[in-house]
Amino acid sequence: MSPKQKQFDMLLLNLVAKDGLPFDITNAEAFQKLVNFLNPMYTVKSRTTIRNLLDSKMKDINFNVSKDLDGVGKQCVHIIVDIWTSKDLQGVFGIKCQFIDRNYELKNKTIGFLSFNQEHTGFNIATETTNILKEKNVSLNQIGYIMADNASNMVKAYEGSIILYDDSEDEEEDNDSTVPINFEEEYANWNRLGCIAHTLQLAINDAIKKDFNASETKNYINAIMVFFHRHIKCMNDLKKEAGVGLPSVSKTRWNSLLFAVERMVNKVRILRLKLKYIKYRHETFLIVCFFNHRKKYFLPSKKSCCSVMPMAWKLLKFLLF
Amino acid sequence: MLQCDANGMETVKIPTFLDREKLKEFYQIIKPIQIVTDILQADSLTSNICLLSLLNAGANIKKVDCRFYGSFQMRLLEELKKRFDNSVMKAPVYILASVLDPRQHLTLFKSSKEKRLAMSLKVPSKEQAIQVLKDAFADFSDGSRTPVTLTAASVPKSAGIYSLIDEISEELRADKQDEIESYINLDCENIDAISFWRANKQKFPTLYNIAMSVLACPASSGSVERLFSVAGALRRHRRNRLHISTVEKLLLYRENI
Repeated sequence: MSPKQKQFDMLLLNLVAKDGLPFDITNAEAFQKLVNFLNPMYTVKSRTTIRNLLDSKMKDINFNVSKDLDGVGKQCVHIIVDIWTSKDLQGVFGIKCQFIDRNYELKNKTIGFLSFNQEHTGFNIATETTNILKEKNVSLNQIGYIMADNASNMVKAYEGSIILYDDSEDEEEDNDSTVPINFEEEYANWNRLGCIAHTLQLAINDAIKKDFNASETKNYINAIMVFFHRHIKCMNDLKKEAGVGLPSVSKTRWNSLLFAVERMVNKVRILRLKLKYIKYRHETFLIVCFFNHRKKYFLPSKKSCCSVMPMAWKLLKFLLF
Repeated sequence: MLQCDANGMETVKIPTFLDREKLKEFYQIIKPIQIVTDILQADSLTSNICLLSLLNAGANIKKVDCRFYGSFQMRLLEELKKRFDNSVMKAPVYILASVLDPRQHLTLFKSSKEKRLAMSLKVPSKEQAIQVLKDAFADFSDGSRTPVTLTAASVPKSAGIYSLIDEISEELRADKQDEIESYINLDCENIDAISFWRANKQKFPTLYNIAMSVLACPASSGSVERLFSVAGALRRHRRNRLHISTVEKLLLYRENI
């Protein structure tokens, strides 16, 4: 195989890994035509070849990671752990490490990304962590802190933590209080740190929940969101006039409330206009309907609606702004 | 609020310009939190600015002149205090990281008691910070210290031959105190923390080790969160039969090549 072809295969793999195209791109007709147009010398390999190429790269990469960790001192590698649920409801256990390498650069590397379909109890999390670390040859005395969120199962998993503040409100409760946790001795001194970003969000949510004024405001913001997200036409009109829509407030996205408020403060004029227009249009419509109902036989309803509304809108605009 | 009128059509209360003022104030109160979140979940050194940025956020929240949300402001500060005073503000990692940041040294902990009490979060005193540093120092200094304490406990001080050992160990200990002492007495320098420790490895060998450990520590789990979002993009709607192990390979490949 020519070195150029090899390079081409690598670039194809990059397309899959970095730009997120499917492996199946190799079977795509248009893509093959494109390659053929650029240079008929290259052949697009089958998807299996590209997969195998990825597999063969894995050895290098695993070696790379352990080489990076090699010269790093004791307690200098910190671990970040979290559990994610994918769209098709598969549990995934993600684990990363952060350290300063020999060239004095801060490195942040993925250690593992594994399917985790057991119950999310503290015990299972702890076992999984030790297994991964063992598998990837991370030496245990290199490990400093473990960073995880403040869910109770995480707290339980890495007990002996220095941060004992237990916040189980946002994540699911676990029920493993009866399962004794027997670590081997070397794992017993794990130090967990709570994720500060998570804690900040909890603080803000709690503060809003406990304050009447603030929760009223939050509800109001939500109501406006819901209204616009439910009425596609209104949202589109708003987008046309304001240039932007309204972001939705979600529980899991950090600071989403803030972004919504920001948008509303900036666009309050248009928002006001829009809501007024909608309300007024609605009222006009009702009035028109009412009259039409009575004069059903004289006026076709559509026409009257069209002729009344712009005028009413102009009048309203004149009165208010 | 969403209401339904007689006709079943939803309407929503039209925001007035007073509402706008209110929202503005609300925004100002929660904005500092967003700023810290952004700072602390970055992929750069975060542990050294952790305490500083939290205190900053507290101060900025306090600064907002409230007309409508006075009670919310107090509540938010209270919640922050409740969650951080006994954990993060006391965590040795973050204290050490602040102290070992050449831009900060002990400045944060040096202020007078009244001033510290007036801050939005509980800041450890200078003495506490130094104690934390000393403890970490004992942890990290290599072995030579442990036998010393053993001899001191098991053998009377006056015992002839051991006195030499005692003397030497005293000296060693003094040396170590010197390392802390001379670091503390340095002036703040406007220099990147890692570069500073790179240059001063010889001068403060033990503190260097502590710094390398403590500065690498993340302040949030943001980086894993980002990993998941990339994974979500790879394993999007049409590709949801991609095996998790393949996703792992793709992620590792992205990162290392």
